[in-house]
Amino acid sequence: MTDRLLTIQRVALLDSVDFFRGLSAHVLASVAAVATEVQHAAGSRLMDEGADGDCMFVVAEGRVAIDQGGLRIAELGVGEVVGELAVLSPGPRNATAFVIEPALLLRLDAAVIDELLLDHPEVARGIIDVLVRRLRSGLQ
Amino acid sequence: MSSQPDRRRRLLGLQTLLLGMLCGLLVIPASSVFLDEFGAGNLPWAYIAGAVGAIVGTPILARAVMRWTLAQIGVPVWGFVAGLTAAGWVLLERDGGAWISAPLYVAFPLVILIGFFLVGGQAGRLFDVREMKEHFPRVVVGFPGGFLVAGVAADGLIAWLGGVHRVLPLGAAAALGLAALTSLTNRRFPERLATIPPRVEAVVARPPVRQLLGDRYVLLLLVYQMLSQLGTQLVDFLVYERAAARIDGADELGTFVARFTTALNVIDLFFLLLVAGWLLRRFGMRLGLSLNPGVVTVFVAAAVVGALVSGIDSALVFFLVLAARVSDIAFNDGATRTALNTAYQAVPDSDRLSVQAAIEGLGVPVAIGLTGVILLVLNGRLGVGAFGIAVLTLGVGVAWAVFGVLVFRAYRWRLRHGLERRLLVPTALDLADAATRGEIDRMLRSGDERLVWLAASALASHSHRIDRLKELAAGTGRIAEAAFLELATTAPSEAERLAVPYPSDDLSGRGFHARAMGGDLEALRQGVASSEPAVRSAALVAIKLLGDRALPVADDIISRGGRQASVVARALAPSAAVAALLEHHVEHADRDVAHAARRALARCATWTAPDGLIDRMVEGDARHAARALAAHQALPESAAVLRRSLLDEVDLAARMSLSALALGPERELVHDVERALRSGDSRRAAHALEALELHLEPAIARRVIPLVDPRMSPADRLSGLPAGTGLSNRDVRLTLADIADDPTGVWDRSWLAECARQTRSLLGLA
Repeated sequence: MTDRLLTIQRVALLDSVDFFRGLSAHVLASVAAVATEVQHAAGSRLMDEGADGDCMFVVAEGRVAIDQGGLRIAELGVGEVVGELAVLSPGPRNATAFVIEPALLLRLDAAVIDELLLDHPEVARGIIDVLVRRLRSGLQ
Repeated sequence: MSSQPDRRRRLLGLQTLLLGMLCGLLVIPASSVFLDEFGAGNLPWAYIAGAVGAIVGTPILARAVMRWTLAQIGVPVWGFVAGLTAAGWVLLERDGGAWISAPLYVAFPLVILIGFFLVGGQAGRLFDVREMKEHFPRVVVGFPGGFLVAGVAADGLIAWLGGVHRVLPLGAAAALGLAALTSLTNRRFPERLATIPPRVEAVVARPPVRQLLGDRYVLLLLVYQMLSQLGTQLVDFLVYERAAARIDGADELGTFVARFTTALNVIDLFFLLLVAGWLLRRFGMRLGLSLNPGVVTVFVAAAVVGALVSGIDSALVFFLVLAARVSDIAFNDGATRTALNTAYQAVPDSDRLSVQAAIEGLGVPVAIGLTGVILLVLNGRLGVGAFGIAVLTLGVGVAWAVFGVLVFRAYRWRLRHGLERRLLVPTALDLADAATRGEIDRMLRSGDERLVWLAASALASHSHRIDRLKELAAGTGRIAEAAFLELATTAPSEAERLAVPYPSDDLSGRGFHARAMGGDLEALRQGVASSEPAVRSAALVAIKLLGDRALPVADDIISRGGRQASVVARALAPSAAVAALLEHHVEHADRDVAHAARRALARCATWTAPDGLIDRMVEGDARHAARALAAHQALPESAAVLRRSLLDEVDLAARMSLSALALGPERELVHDVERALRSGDSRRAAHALEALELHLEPAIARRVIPLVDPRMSPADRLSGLPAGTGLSNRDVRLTLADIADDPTGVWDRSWLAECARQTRSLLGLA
């Protein structure tokens, strides 16, 4: 499949993700270079709750719904990430993700995130911010 | 309570103990009856039969390790060996049952091979590469220990039981014990042993032989292992050939074999317990791979000379052959086995067991079979005799030693390059592409601050787009600011030209840049010391932009020490003049500044360290760490804050050592080691430390490794550092006085001094 996004567009997309906040353009370009584009039609399943996961996705187009225990807990759009928990802490997926509008996603493998965390510890700050926001919103 | 490595070592050591007992109780009756019944001339046939059996069994073993756990393989194998040994005893009780000594004798090398494959395979899963070097010699101790027990028992029991073959039931019991222990070890460590390595399907699809030949490292290991086995078999043959020529009768031969086995294993045991571990720790893999072939070659060479001088039948030659055999056993158990098992650790986890099974299951039997064929041709057909075999053994020994050196070099290279796996590689945006240029222009016009910064950054990374960046920087507002800073990073002279026309008294932003770059070094000095983060940032950018012109200020700030000094050292743009300045500060009394200076100096690619500087820095770091560790050990646990602060000093010394090493020829390796240590993956960290140790001068490695090894406790670190680098006194009062008053200025840390004063009050020692 031919890639639809230019590298600069991938970089701009990654730059909009809180996870990667603070990374320079050339680092984002190296991440963009190893990301793979995946397209999904509406209704297709992106990941299953309980399944092993070794990658995360960044939504470039479309919308993705997140269900947990049969309940819808979130709907995610452009610039948001899906499946990041299994990447940060290896283990089964804690939710199921469905595509609800035709979606284009960037897939990033866990190994890429591991390497980013090692070489660019500032990524951890963005990740902590995201996780803290979620924790707070869960507590409220 | 015993630690995890201790428990692993104990269980594996018990396995090798039973393996040694089994082997002893198998080979003593089997070899005695075989030599008495068939003569030494038929030994080559036994070797060939063993080789054929192993070659047939190897593909089964190589595939078995991909499908079943080591316990699922080991338990039935030991059950079968127990049955064979018991059957041997039953048959030898009857007339005409001596033929069973042939399969029993054939089984002997196969039992050692499978036994060490199973123990080594478990060790490879339970230990990382450094634990392997540390613990495996002690695991192997069990083997000669068991052999020794078997030799002593057989020597006493042969006459009492009324025949050498009556010790075989004890061998069967040892085999059953091995089955039970293999199962127990698997149950104790299910997370490591009860799983099969991932990605095995890819390996299954490729025949082991093709896989071996496709990888130079594995091929070298295979040849080394084959030469090792060839040398061992030839020396073994010379021992039995000479013994059979000098001793008559099965029971007499049995007694000789039992006593020789006892003596051999006593020496082996002493070597393993007293020397092997120290040798491997002190000299590492280089010696581990070369010691055995080197010493065996020397003894065989002496035997050849002895045969020329006093004849092949002389007692001197027999003694030298026995000495070669003893040294082969001792060094094989004490060095070669550990070195080979460590060498397998340089093979990826997913391939390791199949490679190990293929090398040991194929290489060893082929070598044994080859020995048989060589002996049949030389000794049988051509009538070369023992002297010719000794000369051949000498040639094999020399080749074996050469391959030891080659394997070591390949291992070192493999470890080094195994650390370099990178997914993220520097990637440039292709601005020649019209679509990308259009997208960047769209981003610049978007008015979205984030996109503008990104686009400016993309332009700055391409020198032929600097003009576009200059246009943007000459404007006003946030877009101009973004463009200016990007320009300042990539084309400082262009940024300076733009900034100078805007003089201002305002110590912020662009106005500050203008003054600083206009040569107002006092403004720069004030900017670095400013309480305003934005001004401090601007001052640091100015230092970077001014380059060599800012060096007098930078030198002054760095010389004074403190946090500003570290920040300024990091901000300096690499140049020859900056390198010359930083070189004076790499041993700064303020260790944080020294660390920052080393880090910054590492970026100056054209700078090379003067002779002795790196050694001196590492020596200083080790000395300071040892001082902090000694103080830590001297203090009671109630002095928690001070103890923790002292460990922070050790941590800084460790990082400083690595930053010192990064100034030498191994800077890329050091960078990879730092990444591996940060990964939190203990096996990867061990792999990195092993690579570091192999590439550093031994004297430097002995100072650095105890500082950076994440598994070490403070006490281990202190004892691992060279003697004389720590404090001699361990008195609490004196230690606290030393830190609080710092009479010699070695601590130079106000926080530590304050902690020591607080601790003195806390402990009532003020």
